[in-house]
Amino acid sequence: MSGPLNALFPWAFLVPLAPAIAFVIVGLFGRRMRRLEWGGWVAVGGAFVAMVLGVLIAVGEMLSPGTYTDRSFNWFTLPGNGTGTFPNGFSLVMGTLVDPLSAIMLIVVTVVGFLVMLYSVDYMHRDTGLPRYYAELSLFLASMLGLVLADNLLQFFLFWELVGVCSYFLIGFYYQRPAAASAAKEAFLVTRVGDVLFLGGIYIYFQQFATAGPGLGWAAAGFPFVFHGAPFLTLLHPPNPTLFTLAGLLILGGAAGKSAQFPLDVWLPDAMEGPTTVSALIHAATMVAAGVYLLAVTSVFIGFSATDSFAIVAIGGFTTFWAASMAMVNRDIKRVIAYSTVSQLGYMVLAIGAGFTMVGLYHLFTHAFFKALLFLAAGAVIHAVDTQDLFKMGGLRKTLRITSIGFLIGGLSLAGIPPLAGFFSKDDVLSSVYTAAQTHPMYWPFFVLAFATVFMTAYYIFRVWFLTFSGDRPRDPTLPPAHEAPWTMTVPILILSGLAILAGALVFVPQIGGLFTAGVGFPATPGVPPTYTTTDILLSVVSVGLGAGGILTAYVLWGNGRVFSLAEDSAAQPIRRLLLERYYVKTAVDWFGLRVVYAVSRFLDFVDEYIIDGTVHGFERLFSELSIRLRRLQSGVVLDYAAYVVVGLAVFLVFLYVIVPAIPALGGG
Amino acid sequence: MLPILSLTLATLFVGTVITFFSGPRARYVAAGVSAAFLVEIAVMFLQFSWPAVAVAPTHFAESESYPWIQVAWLHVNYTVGIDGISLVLILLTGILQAVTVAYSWTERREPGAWFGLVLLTCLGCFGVFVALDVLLFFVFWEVVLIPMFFLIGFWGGPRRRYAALKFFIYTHVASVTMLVALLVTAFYSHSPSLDFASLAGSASALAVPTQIVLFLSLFFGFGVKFPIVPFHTWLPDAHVEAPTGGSVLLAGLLLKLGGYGLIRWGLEILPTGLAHVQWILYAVAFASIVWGAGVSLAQRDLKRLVAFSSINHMGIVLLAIALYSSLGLLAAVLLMFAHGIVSALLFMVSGSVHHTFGSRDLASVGGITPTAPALSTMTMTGALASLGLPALISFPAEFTALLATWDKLGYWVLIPLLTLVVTAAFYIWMMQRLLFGQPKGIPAGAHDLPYAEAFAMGVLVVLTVLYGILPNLLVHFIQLSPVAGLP
Amino acid sequence: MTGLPLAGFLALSAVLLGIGIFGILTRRNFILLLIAIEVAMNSAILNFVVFGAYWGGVPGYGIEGQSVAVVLIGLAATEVAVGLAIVLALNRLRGSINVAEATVLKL
Repeated sequence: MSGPLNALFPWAFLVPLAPAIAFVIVGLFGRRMRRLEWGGWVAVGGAFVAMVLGVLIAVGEMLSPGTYTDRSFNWFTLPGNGTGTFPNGFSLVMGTLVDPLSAIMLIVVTVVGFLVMLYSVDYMHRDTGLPRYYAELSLFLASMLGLVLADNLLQFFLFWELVGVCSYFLIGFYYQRPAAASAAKEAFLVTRVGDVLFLGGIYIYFQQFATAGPGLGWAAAGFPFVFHGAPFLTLLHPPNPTLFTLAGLLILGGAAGKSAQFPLDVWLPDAMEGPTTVSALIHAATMVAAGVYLLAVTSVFIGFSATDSFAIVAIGGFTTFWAASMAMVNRDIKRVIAYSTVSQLGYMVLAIGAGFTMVGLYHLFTHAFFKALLFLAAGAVIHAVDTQDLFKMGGLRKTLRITSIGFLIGGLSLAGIPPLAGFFSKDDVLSSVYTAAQTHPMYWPFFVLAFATVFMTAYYIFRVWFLTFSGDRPRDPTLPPAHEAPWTMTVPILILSGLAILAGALVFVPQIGGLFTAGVGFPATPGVPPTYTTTDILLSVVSVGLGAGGILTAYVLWGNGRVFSLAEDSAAQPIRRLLLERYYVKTAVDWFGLRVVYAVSRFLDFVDEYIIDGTVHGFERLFSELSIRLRRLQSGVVLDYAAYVVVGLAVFLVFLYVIVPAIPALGGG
Repeated sequence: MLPILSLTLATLFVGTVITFFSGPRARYVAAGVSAAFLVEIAVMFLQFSWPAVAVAPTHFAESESYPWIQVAWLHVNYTVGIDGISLVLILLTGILQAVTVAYSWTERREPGAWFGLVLLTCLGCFGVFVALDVLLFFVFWEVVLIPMFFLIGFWGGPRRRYAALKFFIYTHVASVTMLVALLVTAFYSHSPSLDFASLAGSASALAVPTQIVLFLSLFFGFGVKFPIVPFHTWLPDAHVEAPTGGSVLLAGLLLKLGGYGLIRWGLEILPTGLAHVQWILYAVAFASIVWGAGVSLAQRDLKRLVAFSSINHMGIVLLAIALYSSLGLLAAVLLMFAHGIVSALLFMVSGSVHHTFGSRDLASVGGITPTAPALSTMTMTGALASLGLPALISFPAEFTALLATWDKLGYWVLIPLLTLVVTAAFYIWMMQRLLFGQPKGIPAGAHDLPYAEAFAMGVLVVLTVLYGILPNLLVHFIQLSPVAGLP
Repeated sequence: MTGLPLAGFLALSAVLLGIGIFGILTRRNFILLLIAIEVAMNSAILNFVVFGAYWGGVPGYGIEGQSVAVVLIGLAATEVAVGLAIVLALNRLRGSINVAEATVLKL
């Protein structure tokens, strides 16, 4: 198996390296450049190189599918000493791995990354701290690409943490705003909980595989056993099944943290404090998808445990509904899209849990484009009117024509209207859950939730569209007059619009579809539905109907400048308040942090200062009191001292020659 | 072959003496001595990696032994030698000596004494890492104590006398316990000399209860230096009062003496003793890990926060040592090195915050990034490294330590693992309060880092990244040690 | 060592020590005190010489006893010199050499 582009595969490490070099250049010299935008163009250049190379490599993978690895960097070597758990030692190797999964992710990350970078040049031009922005965004892109190409779980974790910290910095980009600093902290800590669980999962895999195969040549192979793992499936039988189930749950915890799944979803809406471009790239298209990608690459192992599969389905299915419900009432344009992201990530998780890994990735693929499109269009709106409050906007379709069309295409795609990208992938998700529920009746409730969410999705996204673009004028007359954005912003919107239309249908090109059917060696992955049986078509019709119903409802309530407000005495008011308050989860988390964790910590500090150190001071007092008493013995008369010496000597002699011989334990008796 | 260890000791000794008497020019002498020390360390590394002189992992390299005090029943030798573990810690000594000298380049109060005492501390640490004789080891151990006492007591903050005395009493009680235990081991086991090798050979003949008691005494003696809960309260006080250079050496080097001592003079001499009381060490380690992290979260003084986080990190070191496996010891040494670099960086940050903004109180100083971007960058690097961000130095060490724990102790690994969240919490919160938000408590005319401080911290940042990306640079050497043969 | 038994020497030494200690405990006069200390010290020196002679000729033992005794004699002389200097200073300051009156450790 070798295609014309395979010669590129050993050079895959250049893909993350290009933005990394841009990071170093901008980070070190960005502030000294004569014009700060130059740093931006350096970053765009790095992203462009990465995109060209990444897409070429992905095309190479399409032409000759297979798994290609290149392990050349020995990160950490422990020579074995013939005993213990690792008799042959082990090497933790860093390398690159090109296979269908990473090819899909390469396309997504490099294309969206480049477009967002290009968009940033004008979007961010008013901001101070531009070099910092471009440096951090380049570092993010480099880390994300490193993660995508990682050839083992440890390397994956390494870059996983790096993208996390980039996300932390970028959420806190406007660090002087207390809300941004606080949101950044929250994002880091909530995902950190997931990261720690993930690390626990890595330990289990590491030890299980080490003990399962003593003669497997750890020094040569290292960690990749746990990854993209078809060739190693036979190993699965000896290891401890309980531990494997636990490892799967831990990995799920990590993925839930990064992909903002319930109950670790609280950080993502707050992460919208960062610039919109950051939301588009990191908190919609790429980084938050890393959790889904993690589940995909480990699905080979996790999928064997029914408990784990059910946990994944449950979390994914529930999150889908949970987040969509909160999106329906929010007034902030970016937060609605953020909730939508959480909800859509739930779909992907759901599909993977149902056993259709590639379907999950398929939805990830299409979602990246239409969600980035929605964010960039929202960014153009915010750029134009300088507010994020939906209820102040209105009638913007006249001035922001390209943006409104882009947003419309993104919205239709998200709502699952054929033939846009979202239709195909969402349809596949639903039918894969339907298929899985045939054999696992426990999945039915989540299937229902997922179906109900289709309606909610269409409703909330078109509520945004109508509020923003329809009507004849803004509701708040003080808004500045809007102008269409410059080409660097509209071109990415147009390109992404094209992708949001086409990305779903692209799988019908055999080479591209091959990426999604090649599978990951997971026996239960039959490739991408639909198989176009009657049931499938029926499901599609119902879901499209639900989507259209959602759009219609949104039009009735919010279209043409209408504003729907719920009566004050309506029975739905408590529900609305509950949704606006985000089910009080955020409040509970804050309460827990302040009233429980911090209070315990204050208590420990008190114990440390007054009880432990108090005991020490108690001893100090004891000895000083004693010494005041004993000081009287020090009369200053030499003769008294001489007497003490003699008495002491006598006591010692008595001890040595009378008492010691009488005690057997001391050798006497 | 060159007697490189004695040569280095002589360099440091002569350098220290000259520094003491060179008054205002002391900093140049100190810089020269530091440079010479680094060159000598480079020679040691070369000899370790040169295939022709490469050491077998079961012996000490560069060994030298001369009789020192010879009486009928007492054989004290001047014996020195190094293995991979000491080599890495010597490297740490060299680095920290150089950056401390650089950081305090503009010290105006008694510069001769200041730089002389800094060099003397490092001389003592170097001696501890090379000494292979009980008495020699003890002499160097005590040599470290005295300059640190004066560094805190003369250059320190308002409560410096209290802190210096507390530090001195705690560590002195511990070191006397340690000396007595070592001498008793030697005499009870009829060791032919006080050398490490003969002690390690003869101690196994002791009765098991004796070994247990001796090991526990040694554990107490070395543990106070770690420090272990509940004998830790000297550390925050000492750090809060110590001058920045003193804090750097205290956290970066002095705490490592405890770890090194426990490995070399505890574990390797009395393994049977350890095997019977391993659970005590685990319990103490877990307590230190949880306590350090938990108390850090409540701190408002930046320096106190970093001090308590040291207790947490050294708890992980203790845990890794107590596992008594080659992987655990590797992790412990790696983590000691990492903590040495990172805590030095963080203490420099607290020092710079203090004298740039006049306060280290996180509740009254905040939003410093626009005023001091370089200092802010250093703070971020230090905090992120300390909370275990990959690609920075602590991650490979913590990863290995927890892997070894999981391997030996199973689910108990959850305690240190979940504590990592708390560690992240207090650092991230510290960054939020100190670096971000609206500026407050910034005095007029506050400026970014002076060159000397920026240089010292910059070196540490570079090392943090370098060793984080290429941990094999250290791992390779740590392996060349007698303990690499453990299961 | 022939002739006289070891025990005789040791008894002599013990007697000397007793006299010395008795003197130290009872004399108030500084000079008498010094003399008493000398007597006690001589008992120790005697012991060293006696044991040195006793082990003399046994393989593995040298003349450690005698050499320590020589060092101690030197030490005793030094001590007397220092002691007499103190006596002179005390006398000059207080006009008395009664040790019971010198209760403050610094003069």
